Amino acid sequence: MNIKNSYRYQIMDHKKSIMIYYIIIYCVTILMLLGFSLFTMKIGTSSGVTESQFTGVGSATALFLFISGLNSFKENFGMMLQNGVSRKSLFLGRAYVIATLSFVMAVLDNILLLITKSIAGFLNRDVDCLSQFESVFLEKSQGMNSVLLGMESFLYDLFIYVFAFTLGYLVTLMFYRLNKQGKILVGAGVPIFFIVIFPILDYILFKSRITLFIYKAYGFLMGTRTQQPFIAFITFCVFSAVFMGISWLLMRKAVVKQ
Amino acid sequence: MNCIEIKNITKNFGKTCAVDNVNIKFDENKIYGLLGRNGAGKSTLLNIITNRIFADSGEVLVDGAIARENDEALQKIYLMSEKTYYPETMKVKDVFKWTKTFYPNFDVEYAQKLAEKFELNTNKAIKSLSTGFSSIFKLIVALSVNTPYVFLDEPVLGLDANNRDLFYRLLIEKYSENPSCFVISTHLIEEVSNVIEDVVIIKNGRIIKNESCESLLSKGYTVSGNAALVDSFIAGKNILGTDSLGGLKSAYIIGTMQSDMPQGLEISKLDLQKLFIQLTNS
Repeated sequence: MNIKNSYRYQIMDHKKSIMIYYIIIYCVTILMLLGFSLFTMKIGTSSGVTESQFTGVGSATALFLFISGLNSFKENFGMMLQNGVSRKSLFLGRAYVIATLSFVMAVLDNILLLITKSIAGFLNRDVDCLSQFESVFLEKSQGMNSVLLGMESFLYDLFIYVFAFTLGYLVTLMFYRLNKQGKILVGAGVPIFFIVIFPILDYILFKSRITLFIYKAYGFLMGTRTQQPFIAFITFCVFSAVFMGISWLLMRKAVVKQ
Repeated sequence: MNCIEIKNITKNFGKTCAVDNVNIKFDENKIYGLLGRNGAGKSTLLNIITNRIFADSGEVLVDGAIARENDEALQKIYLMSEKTYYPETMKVKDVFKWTKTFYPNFDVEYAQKLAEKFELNTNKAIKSLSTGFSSIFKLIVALSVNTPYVFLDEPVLGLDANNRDLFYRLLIEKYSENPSCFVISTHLIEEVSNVIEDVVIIKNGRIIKNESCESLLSKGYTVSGNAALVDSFIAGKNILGTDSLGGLKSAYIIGTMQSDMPQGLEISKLDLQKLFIQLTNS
């Protein structure tokens, strides 16, 4: 199998965009810390009143990986088939790429957060430096020791990144396989249904009970209701596995567009 | 013997049958011409062989192994297609580098040498190449890849006469130094007729001829001359077709030449292009 070469090529494909992303993120963070050292501003946060708040870059990285996933198929597919690589090797290479990049970016984001916390401490400012994990599991994280907090924060980022990347990859594969009418139907129909039609129907027919159920289910699956991050880890893992499974089903029959 | 064997391949696009129960063998170390009119099914067949699209039925074997989703078999095949599947923003020199990764026998030095011969700037991105240079770039990769089976789909698309001539010379040079199987799919039959050893003619998705070029052309002859004379000569013979221009007529006849030819008629060998036109016209 040609998985190693497929992996090497696909990793290279992301190298430049990731470098640019982190140059921007690190520059913005430095500028922000510089701003903190020069100006103070009292703001209200969930943890009370503080001078400033920095909630990490986790959401930005998840969004970045989702968009990377969206842009990861068509060109690579053509390149791999041109070079005698099977769909199976392309897919397995992609799975390793998703795992590698999510891991590396989770590490980099947590290092950035540690640096930010240290600098904020050095500047002696009342700056809230929170990871994504701390923002979501505020109650739980307050009583945790820093090593465990760092570990769980890293795992939370890692699983969210894998989830976002696999979701982006699935969406791009779906659109690749759909014909023109299907693309219009899914591209416009799905958002219109969930944003406009579904809330109206739910309100008229069920007095918004379905929306309430989804909200509660979301709280449970994300572990926020019970403040159990491991539920969120399992949820993200299961969804990522399902996304990859569907992606493979879509890819195994994909053909080049002539 | 090593070969690519295509067994009972059929491919339909909706109600159109692009390839209809094709059986064919491409032996190693031979140059084939895959000839057919537009839409005959040449590119579809090549895309099936190289795992880019899937056949509805049948199988492709590369040296005895099923090619479908088989990395080892696919590594023995390279297809230079009309459409470019390399990333548009990638530089030519980077394509050389990556091709070496996927095809370890790819000769980067030779590719650089060919780029100089064709005056192709390897620092250019693929999207900035003209149609002609895009073909040149893909040809260079195909000539340097050193795999046992190389398929060239319309290799001289957009190339000027000088570059076409250079390509044919390089192909023969490459083949004599390092023989492998080249399958050239083209419309420019006259140009390739001196290069190819075997001819495969495809019509409406079916193989109608598959034999050596020499044997195919020796099966008949062309007779030209005054229309009335030609008409009387060809009466009762197996005629492939005729061409008329003013009072002159040429007839393409299948069969052996008779020793006592009537005066005023000129006999010549069958021409591959003419033969192709006659075979695929009806």
